[in-house]
Amino acid sequence: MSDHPLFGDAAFDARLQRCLDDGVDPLDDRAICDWLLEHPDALPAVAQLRERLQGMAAAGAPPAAATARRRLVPRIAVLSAATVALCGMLLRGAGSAPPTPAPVGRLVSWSVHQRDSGHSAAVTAHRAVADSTRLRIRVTDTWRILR
Amino acid sequence: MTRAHAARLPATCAAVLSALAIAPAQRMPVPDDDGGRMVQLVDVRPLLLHDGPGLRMKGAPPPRLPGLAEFLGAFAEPKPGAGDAIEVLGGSHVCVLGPPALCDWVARTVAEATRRREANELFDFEIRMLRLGDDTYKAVLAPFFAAAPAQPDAEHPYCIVVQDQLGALLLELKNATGVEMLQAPRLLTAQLNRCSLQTGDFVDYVRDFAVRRNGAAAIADPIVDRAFDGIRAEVRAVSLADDRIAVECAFEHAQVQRPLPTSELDLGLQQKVTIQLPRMRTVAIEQRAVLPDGHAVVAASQCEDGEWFATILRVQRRLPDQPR
Repeated sequence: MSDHPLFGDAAFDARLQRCLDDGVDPLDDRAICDWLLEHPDALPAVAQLRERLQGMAAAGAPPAAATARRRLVPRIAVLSAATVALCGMLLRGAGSAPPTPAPVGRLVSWSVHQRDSGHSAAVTAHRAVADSTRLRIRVTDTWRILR
Repeated sequence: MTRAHAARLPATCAAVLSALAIAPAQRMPVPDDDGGRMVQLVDVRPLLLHDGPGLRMKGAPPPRLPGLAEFLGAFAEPKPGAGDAIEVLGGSHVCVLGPPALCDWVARTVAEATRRREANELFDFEIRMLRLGDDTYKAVLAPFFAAAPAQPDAEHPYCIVVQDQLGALLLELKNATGVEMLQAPRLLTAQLNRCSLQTGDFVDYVRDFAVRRNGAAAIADPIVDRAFDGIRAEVRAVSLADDRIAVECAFEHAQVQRPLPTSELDLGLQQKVTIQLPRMRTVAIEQRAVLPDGHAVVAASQCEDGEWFATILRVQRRLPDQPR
């Protein structure tokens, strides 16, 4: 591990690494989501890291997330901010939740997109709070960041 | 048969024959279809629909509500099944492919809408969006939902109330702490017409610089973009045969954080340039309901951080000269 925090925040790094070690999706971690909303510049790298880990898992890579992390983390540090389109459908209990009453504190889905244009890029994070035939509520945060 | 009846017979026969002559052109069976489906053509020109792209201000987002065909499909009884379709042709006709009951529903709904359109009947909408903390929800909205008639199939707290109940709820919310309530200006719209309203500001910002050469000199031209800060509302409604109103609405609240964050950029020119990096949050709500005239639907959903969003949508039929 480098002495310098990968994302400029040692506590966030530690939490992210713990998620990876435990084989937990980082976007399932509320504190990580909150931190990312405050630090949109880190979204593309985290999104790409998560996407690659999922790709490895699907390809039958060893479940030892720490191994994957050691191989991936240096790459993440030098990743350019190329277009990342990640749809993290975190259907938290969507299939198992009781139909009524509404599950408390439900996040139906979460996704991050980055669209580059010139020297800056627009990063958009969508959160679906409600998604039924009668009611849909979506919260969209958009930041412009330097590339 | 009286002489009066006999005198009217030719006209009646002519009307029947005329209807018979038109009917095959408007509805025809689908050849070799096991489900007995039909194709029905319904003329919507008398509704004077304004469903095209229309005039949009620069930077304004496209319409959020789906088109007329999707609207009819969402409320149709029976629901369109696999392989069934409702499409708008040429902006003037609705074409239905489906069982006779679905064709009947669309034809009946458009006929009823046309009749009410010719009587200049309009819909008057009130749309509100609320954001409130969990404590306020438990103190005000939870008891309100508990007292309302149960909605067994609702996936969220949801109820339909009359004007008096709504007035009492609004008063209670007004007196409660920690309630942020946004209300769109009232909207009037005709049968099946999509109506939209936008109020707010466009915030111009320097997104980037384009560098061009003029001889030996390099000139950086700012590229200006714009972000919308305000509210947008869209509605569409139609009177159903049972006198209730099918309504669809979208409400959006966009906020641009001020002042705009800035950052310096080195383009290799003599001086660094400054670009602006705005941050925006948009809360968008879309809602569908079937309401009796003058009633309101109240719905709520809790975010993962414990905060609640709630919507209140009321619709009432109104004639143009009728006071509000």
